Amino acid sequence: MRMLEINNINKKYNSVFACKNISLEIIPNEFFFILGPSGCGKTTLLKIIAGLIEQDSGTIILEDNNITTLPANERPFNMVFQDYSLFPHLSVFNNIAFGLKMKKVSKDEIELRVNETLKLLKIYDLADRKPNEISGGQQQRVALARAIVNKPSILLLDEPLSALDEKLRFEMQQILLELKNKINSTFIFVTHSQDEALSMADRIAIMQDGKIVQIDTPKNIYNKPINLFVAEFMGEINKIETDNKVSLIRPENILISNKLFDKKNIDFTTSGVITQLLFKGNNTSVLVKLENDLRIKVLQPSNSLNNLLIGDNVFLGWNKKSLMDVEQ
Amino acid sequence: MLNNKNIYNLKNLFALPAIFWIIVFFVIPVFFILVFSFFERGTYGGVNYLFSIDNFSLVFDSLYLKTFLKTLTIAIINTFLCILLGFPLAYFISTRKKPKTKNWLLLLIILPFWTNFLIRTFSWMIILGNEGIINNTLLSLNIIVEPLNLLFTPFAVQLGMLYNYLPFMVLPIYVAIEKIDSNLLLASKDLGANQKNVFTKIIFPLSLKGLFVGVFLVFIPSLGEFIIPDLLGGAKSPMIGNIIKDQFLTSRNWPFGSALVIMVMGLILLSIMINNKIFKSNRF
Repeated sequence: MRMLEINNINKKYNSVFACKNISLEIIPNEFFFILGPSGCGKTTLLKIIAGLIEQDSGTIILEDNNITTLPANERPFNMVFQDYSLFPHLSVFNNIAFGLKMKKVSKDEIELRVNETLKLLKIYDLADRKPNEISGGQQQRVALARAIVNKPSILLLDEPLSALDEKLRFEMQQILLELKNKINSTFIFVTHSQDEALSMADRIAIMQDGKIVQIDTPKNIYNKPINLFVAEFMGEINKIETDNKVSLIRPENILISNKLFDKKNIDFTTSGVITQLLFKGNNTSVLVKLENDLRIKVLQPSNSLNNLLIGDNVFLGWNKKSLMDVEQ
Repeated sequence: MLNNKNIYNLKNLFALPAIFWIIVFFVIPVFFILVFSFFERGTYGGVNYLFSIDNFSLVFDSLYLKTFLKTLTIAIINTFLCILLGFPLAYFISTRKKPKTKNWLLLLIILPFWTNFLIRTFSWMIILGNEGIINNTLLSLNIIVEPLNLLFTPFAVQLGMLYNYLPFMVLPIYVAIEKIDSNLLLASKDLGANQKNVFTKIIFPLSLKGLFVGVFLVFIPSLGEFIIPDLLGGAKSPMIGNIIKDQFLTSRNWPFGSALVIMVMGLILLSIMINNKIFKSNRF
């Protein structure tokens, strides 16, 4: 079953493709992420879905209705903008009520639904304030409230958390996940942060230079990246040559020890010298220089590394199933 | 050693010339005018230092009250016409897509300032006169038989005012519209606003700040205008500015002229207060 279907979307700016032949299917009630580095065209794609940017070619189908030519104000989607874009001349209440007023909802119902949403996002006390009188985190909640109060069939989120500090960002992630369960809606979330995507997404589409390179679950994207770009974008990697073939392996999948490994349990082993130790709290990142001068990054829980020091000779080991074969 | 506090004090010194200028050439003269308005006139100009409130009772003479009322009407009509013509123009310029087009259009707005104000106003006499461009054209096309009486009419004054003050309305409104974040327009569309609502609910309210600035820049100088009515209105329709000028330069009644100035200032202060009140209820 599909909720939204995007077929062969193309959009060119001057001679550069912002979106090239993009096709997607969004499943009802899923938390879908579009992930990519800045300038990859992900925001353009989101705005095309919203109807705020017109594509050069391609179609958009919503629940079997062709909405390709439907203007933004008639699409049943609402967007949370990257810089919030709250209306500076309107109070928090009137910002949130804006969409309902445009749809000529009755005054009583507007009052009811706006207050309900204000309470849901715990910003009831801010109703009479102007956007410039509240904090960034509060503005973020108002932007979210302004979109969900309209009960959009799809909520579009354009890097909504990128302007928040780490603690607030984590808090908002929890709020979004809770909200998602409460309002039973489909979310499309655009971000450049792989952490955000990995921890919240049902499925992720990775975008590079206006093209979608891989669509899959967070686990599969992380563990079975289709190419070097995706592998590198989703986390740190090592390039390892085994059996005359270059493979990729994540730092946390390499075991490290000052004793020889039991060959029965470990497929490959090698040895080297520790050149760098970075303590990161729960984990420690170890840089090991092999005899052939290759540097390997290892990430292991800090408490499992007992007393390794820089300059120590260590053995590294990994298993075949941890190797990721990608298109080079 | 210069510590932070010293640098701070040094910075303040740079404001001194301007403060000095305002005190010597504005605050003290206004004080003189205020004082003069309560004295009797000297025989050959100047003042006799005898206290009197006669100047103010003369201000309320029906002749001068009428002129006040007329001046106020002209200034209000001028402000209104400037908004009526200026807003669509400012909106048109700021919605052009190419920056180059915008700059050319803005240049056209500012271009008249390259010519002296007197010459610009004088040119209207050539255009509106009995032998002027308009009458000659209409006569040669046989549309009219006799020249239209355009120059030295209230119409000519109003036209000259509109022509001279329009840029002061267009520019601040243009700046206000230009400053509106385009994402706000996208956000309003996303929330279901059609073209009309994007304008009435977002663009217009957010451009009011510029409109208020424009109202100040047009209305206040309009109240004190005397060159335009002098040149285009003839002797028949003086504004309060003409009468003040005459009191100082021709009639040599400085105290009465001062009393009129004080009244105009009062009117301006009142209008600023009214404007502020409206503005505060629409604060951003």
